[in-house]
Amino acid sequence: MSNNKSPKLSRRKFIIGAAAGTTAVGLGLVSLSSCTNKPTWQELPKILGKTIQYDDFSDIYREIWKWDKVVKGTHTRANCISACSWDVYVKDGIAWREEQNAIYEPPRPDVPDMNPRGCQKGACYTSLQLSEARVTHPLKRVGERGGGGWKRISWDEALTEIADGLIDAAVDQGTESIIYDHGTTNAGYGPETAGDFRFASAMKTTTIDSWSGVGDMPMGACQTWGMYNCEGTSDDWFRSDYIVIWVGNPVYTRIPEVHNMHEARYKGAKLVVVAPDLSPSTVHADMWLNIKPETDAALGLACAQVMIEENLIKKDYILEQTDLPFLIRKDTQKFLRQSDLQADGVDNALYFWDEKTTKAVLAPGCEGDGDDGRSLDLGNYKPALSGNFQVKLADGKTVECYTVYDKLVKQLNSEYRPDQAAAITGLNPNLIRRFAREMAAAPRAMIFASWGACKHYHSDLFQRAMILLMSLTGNQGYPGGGVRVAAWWGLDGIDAMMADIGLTAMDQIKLIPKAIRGLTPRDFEDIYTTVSETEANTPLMPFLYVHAGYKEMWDQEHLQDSALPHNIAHYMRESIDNGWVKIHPAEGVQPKAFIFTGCNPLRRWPSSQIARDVFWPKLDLVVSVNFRMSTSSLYADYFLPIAAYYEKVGIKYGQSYVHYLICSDKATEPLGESKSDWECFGLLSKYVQNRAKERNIGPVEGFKGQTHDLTTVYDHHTENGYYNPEEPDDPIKLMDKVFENSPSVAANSGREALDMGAVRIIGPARPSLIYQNFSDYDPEDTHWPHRDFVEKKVAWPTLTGRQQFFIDHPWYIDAGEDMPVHKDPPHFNSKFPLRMNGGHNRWSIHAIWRDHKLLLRLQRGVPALFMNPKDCDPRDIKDGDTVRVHNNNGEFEAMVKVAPATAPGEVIIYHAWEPYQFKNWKGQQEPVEAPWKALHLAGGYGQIHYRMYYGSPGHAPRGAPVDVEKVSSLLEEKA
Amino acid sequence: MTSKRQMSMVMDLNKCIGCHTCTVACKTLWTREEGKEYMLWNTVNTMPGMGTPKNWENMGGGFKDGKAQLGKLPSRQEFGDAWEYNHKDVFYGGKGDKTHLQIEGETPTWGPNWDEDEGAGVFPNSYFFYLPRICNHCTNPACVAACPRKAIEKREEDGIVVINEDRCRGYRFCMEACPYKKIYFNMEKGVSQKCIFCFPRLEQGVSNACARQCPGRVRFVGYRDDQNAPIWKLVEKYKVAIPLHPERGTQPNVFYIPPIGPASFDADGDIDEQTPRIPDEYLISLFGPKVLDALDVLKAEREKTKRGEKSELMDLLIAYRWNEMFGGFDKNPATIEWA
Repeated sequence: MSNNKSPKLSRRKFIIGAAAGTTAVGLGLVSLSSCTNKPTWQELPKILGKTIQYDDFSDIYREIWKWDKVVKGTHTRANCISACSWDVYVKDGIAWREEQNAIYEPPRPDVPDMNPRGCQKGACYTSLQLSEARVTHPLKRVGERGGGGWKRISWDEALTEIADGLIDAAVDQGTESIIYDHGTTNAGYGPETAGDFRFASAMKTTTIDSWSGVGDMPMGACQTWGMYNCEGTSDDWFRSDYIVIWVGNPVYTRIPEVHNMHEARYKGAKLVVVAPDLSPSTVHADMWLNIKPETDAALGLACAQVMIEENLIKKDYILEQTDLPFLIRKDTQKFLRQSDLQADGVDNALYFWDEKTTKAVLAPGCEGDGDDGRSLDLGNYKPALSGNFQVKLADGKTVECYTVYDKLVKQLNSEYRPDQAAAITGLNPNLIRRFAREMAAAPRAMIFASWGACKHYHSDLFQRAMILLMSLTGNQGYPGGGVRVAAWWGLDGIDAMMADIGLTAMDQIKLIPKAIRGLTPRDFEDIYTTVSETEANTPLMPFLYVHAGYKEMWDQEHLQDSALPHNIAHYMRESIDNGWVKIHPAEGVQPKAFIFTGCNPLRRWPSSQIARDVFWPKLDLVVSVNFRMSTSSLYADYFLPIAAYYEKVGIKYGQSYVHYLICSDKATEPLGESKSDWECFGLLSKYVQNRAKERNIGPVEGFKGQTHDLTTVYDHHTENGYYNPEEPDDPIKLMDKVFENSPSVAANSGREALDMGAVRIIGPARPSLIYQNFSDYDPEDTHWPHRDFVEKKVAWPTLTGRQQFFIDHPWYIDAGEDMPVHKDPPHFNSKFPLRMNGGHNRWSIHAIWRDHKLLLRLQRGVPALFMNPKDCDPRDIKDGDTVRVHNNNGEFEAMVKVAPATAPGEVIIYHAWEPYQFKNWKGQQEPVEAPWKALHLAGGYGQIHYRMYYGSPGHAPRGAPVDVEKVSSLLEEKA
Repeated sequence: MTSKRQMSMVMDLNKCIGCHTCTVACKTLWTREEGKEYMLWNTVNTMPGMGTPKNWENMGGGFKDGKAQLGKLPSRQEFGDAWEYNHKDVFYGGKGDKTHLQIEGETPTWGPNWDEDEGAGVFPNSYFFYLPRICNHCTNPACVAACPRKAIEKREEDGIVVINEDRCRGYRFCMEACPYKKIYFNMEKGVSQKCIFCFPRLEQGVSNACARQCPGRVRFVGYRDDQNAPIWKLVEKYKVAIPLHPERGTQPNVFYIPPIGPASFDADGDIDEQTPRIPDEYLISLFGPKVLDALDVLKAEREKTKRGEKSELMDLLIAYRWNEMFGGFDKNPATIEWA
């Protein structure tokens, strides 16, 4: 049994081993919940509906609003980050409608409660699961891929043929030639996802790391903090005095949570939006900074200049929590290192100048401080923020040093004064000064940066500038303060999702001494990195570059950063050769089979026509596993129909916005022949094992060339029969294991969690890099990130042990990005006059709900884009016209909405229309070249390296240069 | 015909995010069967805009100086039809990329949210906000006055205006008379239909679906005369909640907290504190001159909380406890068991 194997680690890195964790208790650096006695839960008391007899027309309406039973549900794998609990009303055996399960209790009396949570999409999933897009029987392609010809086959036929195809691929090119992608359907915390994880693990497939592939990797946060989780609960926003929405649109994307911002205004807070257009989130703002697209770093740096020049900064915070006092050698423009001072010195021990002893002292908490870089506590040291210091090196030479702060100030004063930034950002310099002063003066200021802050070419520079502002003002780590992107609830029992993947015995032994001292964020980082390399995880962009035909596009001159001396091809080569970026299958091995769960690569990937035309033909087998037909599914060879969200049990992944973990019960049986993900993937493993035995398949090449036995895949998947995915209650058995082993949440069992729907968080879970925001959870308070660093003086998991603004990696120096700077993106001077921008939209979660009839009716009914009258008039474009959006890379057609709210020069098309909704299925991604930064392939330096779900290149779909021309007029068509 | 008590709603336009959860909540509950497909008893529109039905503010109706005004009968196209699509053809038709998802039949030129997020004005001083609407359950309802069949009742117990579908003969005078154009016609049943203020829910102590399901926490519900509940305080005590188009003379019982837009820019792109982004004239055209007084009160109370002082009004609008927005109609429907 897996529960005897401890410590162990899940492939998904959700956890660190239990034994290691336990020893950390009491040492203060990490705290674990000791909540073993969970409160007993009782169902809400029932009330009997009143009988009202009128015997007239009005009874019709009374009869409509009646039901047979109510089941708790949610939308487990929709990859919507707002987990909301719903009451699913079942009537005549059909999930008839849903209404929010609005039972959320506030943690403290002075914040608004979270009710009701839920949006228009959640409110109509009952109809989506019965819509035309729902697939209820296994399908096999007939004719060409994408030709729209299908025949219905049995599960037995489908599973046998798919299993044979997977075996053929493994025999031919090894198991890594089977590509598994869960993409934007992401991962839940329970049986809705565990089946495919177990399958991929048992098969030793390549797994696409889509986190950054969807453009959701805040690289600037990883570079500055060594981590990116930086959110708490959304009621904590209410405690802010100055809320800046910066590269985000929460009115669209945080429908259940954004009320906290609007309510904060009534409490006296100021709401500020930084956005090129009058975005829907600007409607309720007090002040709008109508910045030119992609100049956000310049604004941030100009604010920093004002704050420093006017002495509005929190000096104590900066000295302790940032690398600004660290010493830089003036001759080399690199950190002063121990290896400079001592013959046997290390490279990762760094210094600041102690004003008390007037000498350079080794900074506690830096990676090489000799104490594992655990604590940034300054003790009696008084670091100098600024100055010129003479330091004697090991070779006897004396060099002059100054501080990161000095380097920053010099740069800010020479390049980022408000007048200079005004020329870049298009903002009035007085407005920049006002913004900087107000932010600095606010008792608590926060920047809501959102995932959209990862989708520009230089997003990392935006983020580094934003974090700089929150550090200068001492806001990071405090309630209602700091940069906010996202964080997750940990759940210890999540180990149950995986079969038995763990650290090697050697790794466990190495961990013991660290565990005895108490594990730090830096240790979690190391463990995470180790585990990340135990399976074939491959970040999407490098995968596309190597295997899917994207190299030719991305190597083009016009997509390079002109500051770098080489083409991205050079950096890719160096990164692969250094082992920094991980490529599976290895170069030269052909991908043979592709299996994707719910995600929609031919909708999502940039220039997806390349994937369709180059990658797809390499594949002998393409399998889509989904509840609905998608564009990518239309190009599949097989479609395996999955039960809809209300037809199976599951645990929604827990983003930290709400103080609850949300579970979804089964309201009705799966429609037609559809099956739960848990059963589907269990069967797939079973068929592979059986077919491998029947075909006498010997060992095949597995992970990194090791041999793998396909005749044990199902045994591995089911932990030698502990689970039987064909049993109806098997997923609840898995959920039992999750909740029995999760002291941080209120439910004791799977059944209890399903009855609750919303399971209260009651304490902190074991830390893990994947979700941890490094704050203890207090059930009687709002939750905010990074408390450990400011309250417990825990070192940040970076080279310096601080929020690090100076990165002296050689690539960063070459690129001119050793400090936060503003840089123009490669497309800045494109001859195409308009820039295509967008963002997640109000009406869908990725492509799910995109084709929902009622919701389409509340839009234009067809893909539409926004343009300002100034750009429409010269092109003779009227509202409702169909236009062609094009550049040298691709084109698509869509309807125009002429909008004074849109900034001139912008074409805004929101997220995730299915290509099949466009003429000739040419979707909105076709012109999008989405270049990405070579720097994101860097490694070998403190926090700068790849680990799964962390630190890999995202692409830059925003700002694609295009032009637009009129194709036809709506009114002419009518005439 | 006077009601003993009057149910009422207040919608806070400073919290409405235009998400249409209200629209969907209403749709999935009341208007899904045949004949009702195109109906949206609840709508939300981006303002300024032509709204739903298209150009409704210029369709007449209501009263002027006590006299009924001629009104236009909105067409199904002006409301926006319930479009059907060729999903099956795209997915299974065997035509591949030669056919894409399209609306079947005539290409529509209007829909219930056609001018979503477009706004008015000249960039960067463009502006917009969201205006959710239901039937106003007026104290002086033009629909009731216009019906020759006396088929429209204003309920004595709560002032909810309901169309008696047993008496209605489908003359549609009510649709012409309503200045808010919130009445639809059911072609299958031959009767007019509209928002029923969720009376079956209220009867069980449960608030309206549009209000209870609103994630923006925009809508207050309750009796107008309940001095302990938010509605009376917002409408009567602080006078910050005002009706839409009061000049139409029907005395609506739905009230709005008017929107305070972001500061505008001067010619140099600096903040202009003096000129409101949403022009006063525009707000007056919607809510009448009292809107300026309401805005003044809101701004003054907000200044108090900025200074750290207490404000009952701001606390009410924050709505710390969501269930207290509903004037006692606060039961959780999931706890109801039907006999």
